[in-house]
Amino acid sequence: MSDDVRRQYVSVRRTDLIQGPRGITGLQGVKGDRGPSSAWQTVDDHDLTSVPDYDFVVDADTISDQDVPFFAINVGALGTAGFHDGLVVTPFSDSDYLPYVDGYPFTFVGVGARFWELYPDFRLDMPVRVWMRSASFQPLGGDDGYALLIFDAEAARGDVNVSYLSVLYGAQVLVNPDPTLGAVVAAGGHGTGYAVTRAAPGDVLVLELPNGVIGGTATLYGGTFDVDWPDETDLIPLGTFTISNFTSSSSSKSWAFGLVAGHRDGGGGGGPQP
Amino acid sequence: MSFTQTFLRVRVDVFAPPPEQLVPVVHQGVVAPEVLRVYLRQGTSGVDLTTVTGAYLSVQLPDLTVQNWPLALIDATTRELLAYHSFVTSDTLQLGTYTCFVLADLSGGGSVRGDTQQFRVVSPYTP
Repeated sequence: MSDDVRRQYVSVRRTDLIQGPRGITGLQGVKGDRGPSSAWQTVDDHDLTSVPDYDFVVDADTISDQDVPFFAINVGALGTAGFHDGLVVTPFSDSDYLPYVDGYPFTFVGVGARFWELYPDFRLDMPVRVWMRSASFQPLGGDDGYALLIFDAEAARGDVNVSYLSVLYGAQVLVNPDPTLGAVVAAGGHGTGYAVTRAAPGDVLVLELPNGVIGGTATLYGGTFDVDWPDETDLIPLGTFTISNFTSSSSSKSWAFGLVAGHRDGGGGGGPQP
Repeated sequence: MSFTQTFLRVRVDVFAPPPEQLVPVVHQGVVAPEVLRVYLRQGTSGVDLTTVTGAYLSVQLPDLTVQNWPLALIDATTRELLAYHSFVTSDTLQLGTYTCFVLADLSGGGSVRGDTQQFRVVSPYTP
């Protein structure tokens, strides 16, 4: 067996590898030396090209692959999504760039998965980051785009005042565009959005919430996939944004990431410009 | 014709305290039905743990001799495997720290190993 196989096989949760005997004596383990107090842990690394072919039929339709339940976002009237050598999302013409927030209609199309189903101890104050690798971006028009989204999947409209969004659109990466143009920010306009010129971010986007979902801060990175994910030291920071308040009526079990795409009708500057 | 975007891969990291490092304790002389339960979790390699056909525990005893303890496979999903070793008298004659890892054979050939772990064998009168 090669070292490579051995290294790859290291379990994510090392201490779960072996537990003490459980029998009539009710043996208890004792605490040993502690490792580092905290660390980044990869709780799921999903090759979407290996998911069996499947087409989502309706909104909230689900499919489980390797114990990860993926759910459909706005499939049906607003677009199609399915697994065919990758997650393929086709937004229709009115699938605007809108996640749940403050009464805006949620019109992105794609697929999501809830964090707690990947990591049962997920908490709203737990730093989290999502890595996304996409195929080449080939918009048919200036209003086509796709996004990496962290959002409240259960919220009725108005229940939540923030989602975290990055949109790859034309030649720009948009980081929380202005709410008046239909994206994301805190209630009362506390959030600020802006666009950055896409500095060759490659095919990988990483959206990181260093203070967790309720922390109100997000950083977007870009990078290039080469056999494996880029090393953290090679990621390019594309933008950071901060939201000054946070309200939600949902628990940590509601929050999810989304891989979504959209199209805004109208053209003529009607895209998700900040 | 509509715009289509394909997503190839996704990964989620959380920054969390690692689970407490528990060193299981075994009392000297325990025998079946006492068992040592072993959990294997899939790493990032994508090895399908339902393809495990057999496994054993390679154990280094306190005197540095090595024994292979058989494992009975209980349940497996793609990502998790549960197995156990039924203790026999000769397993725990020595007091001290035992170091071990799992070696699992795959139906497609080859084998994989788990992380190296430890447990302690203590006197039957140790609380």
